[in-house]
Amino acid sequence: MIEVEGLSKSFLIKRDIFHFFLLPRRIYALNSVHLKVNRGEALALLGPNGAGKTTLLKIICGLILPERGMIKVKGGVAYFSGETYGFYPQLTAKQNLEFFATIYNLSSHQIRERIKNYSQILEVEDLDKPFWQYSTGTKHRLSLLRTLILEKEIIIMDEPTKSLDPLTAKEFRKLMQRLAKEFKKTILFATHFLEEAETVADRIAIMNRGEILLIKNIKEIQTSLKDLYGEIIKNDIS
Amino acid sequence: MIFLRKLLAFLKRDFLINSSYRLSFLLDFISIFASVATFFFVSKLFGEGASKYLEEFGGDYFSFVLIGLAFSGYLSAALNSFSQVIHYEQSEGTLEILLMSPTSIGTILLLGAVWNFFFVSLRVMVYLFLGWLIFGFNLSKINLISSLVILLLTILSFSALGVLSASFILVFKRGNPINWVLNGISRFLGGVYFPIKVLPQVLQKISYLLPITYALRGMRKSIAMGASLKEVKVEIACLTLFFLILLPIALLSFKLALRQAKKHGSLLYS
Repeated sequence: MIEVEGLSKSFLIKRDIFHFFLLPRRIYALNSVHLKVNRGEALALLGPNGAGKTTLLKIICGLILPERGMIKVKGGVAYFSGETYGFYPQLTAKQNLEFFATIYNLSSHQIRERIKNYSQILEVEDLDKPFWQYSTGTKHRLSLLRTLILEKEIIIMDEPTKSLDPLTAKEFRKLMQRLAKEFKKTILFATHFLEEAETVADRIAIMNRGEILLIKNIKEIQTSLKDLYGEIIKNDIS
Repeated sequence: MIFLRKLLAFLKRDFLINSSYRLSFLLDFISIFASVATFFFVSKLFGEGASKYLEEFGGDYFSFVLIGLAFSGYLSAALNSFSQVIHYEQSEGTLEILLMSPTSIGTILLLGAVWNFFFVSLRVMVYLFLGWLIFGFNLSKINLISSLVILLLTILSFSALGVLSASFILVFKRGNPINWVLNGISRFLGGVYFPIKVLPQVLQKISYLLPITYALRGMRKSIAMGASLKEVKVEIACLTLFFLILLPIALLSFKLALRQAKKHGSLLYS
């Protein structure tokens, strides 16, 4: 379970060398954000670039400190980024997985068992190639494999299908659905793809300019998500 | 036990990554040979001329400079390793995954730097071995116990400086004054290439404020002169003092720098 109350965060943006005489500019990435993700729920954060989605995820992960507000996280958290895989390219997939699992305090027996089990589930067969040699789709699966091996209750995903082609992205969304339904994981993910939010999430939260504008259950959306999203963002800008 | 498993995991990772660049490995060892050979012939040029400055180290310039070259590598390793760990993990996108693990950032930095110290130790052995095998460097007097004690204190005191240096990297990203000042000044004033006795009095006084001065003097006495622990007690005391003073300062600065980087959200970007 994740609970966020009154979370605010701003960053000071330094001026470039040609405008050194101006004071640094402060931008507000998050402004009094309230959010609750229930246990076993999948919640999608939707919003344009700069809405504050990634900042919110990284604060929940403890990678950035907030200025104000309260965060309660019950259960271990694993992080998945669709942009950077976070694997060492020269090492094989297996060597990478073994390394990270050790850093996460897993025993040798647990590492062996979990790599075997979850690689079968995710249908990743050859783990003995250097990481850089895998296709983008397989790199995504391997990154997800690491997330599963850690067996954390909560999975935070930042734009999970960002660099995937439409077909591979569809396959990957099915895996995300399985994480939520079959493995009962609590998933909080940021995405630009409405289809992704619709197929994976139980609820959506629409963000813009550091604020959550709407939280709604997918089943309660009367019109299409596309229309709702467009309307909310348009109203916020005007 | 967990710590040991993590240490081995880091060592295995760094060995696999570094051994994938075999040519760099080979070139590094060729450059050691070239450097040893160069200073061997420079020492021939000096002959007995420099011996009055080298009396306390056995009077031989080649031995003097060989130990200086070999062991000054620890200073570079200490000053660069911790900041390199941060840079490397940032560039591979692995820092987020590591920071979210139950392993503390301090342990990650420490374990990530172990390979560099291990590799420097390997280079030191190659320096001494080549010096002995080809250029007649006398290893017969070496006092292993005092050499190891001095080496351990050298690594500890240099590492404290390295953590201080990493703090600057966390906040300023590039342009590290600690590294710049210490690397430059230590090589110049710390007695790597020449004994500090040849320096003017003012510079000699500055050199006494650098841990490398005591590290190299202690190593030279232990390796070339076979000095016992008692005979290097001043060096041992000074290096211990450096470590005890620098470590809390370094840890505090690192803690503050880490907090600052997390506050600005800059930790994850190089």
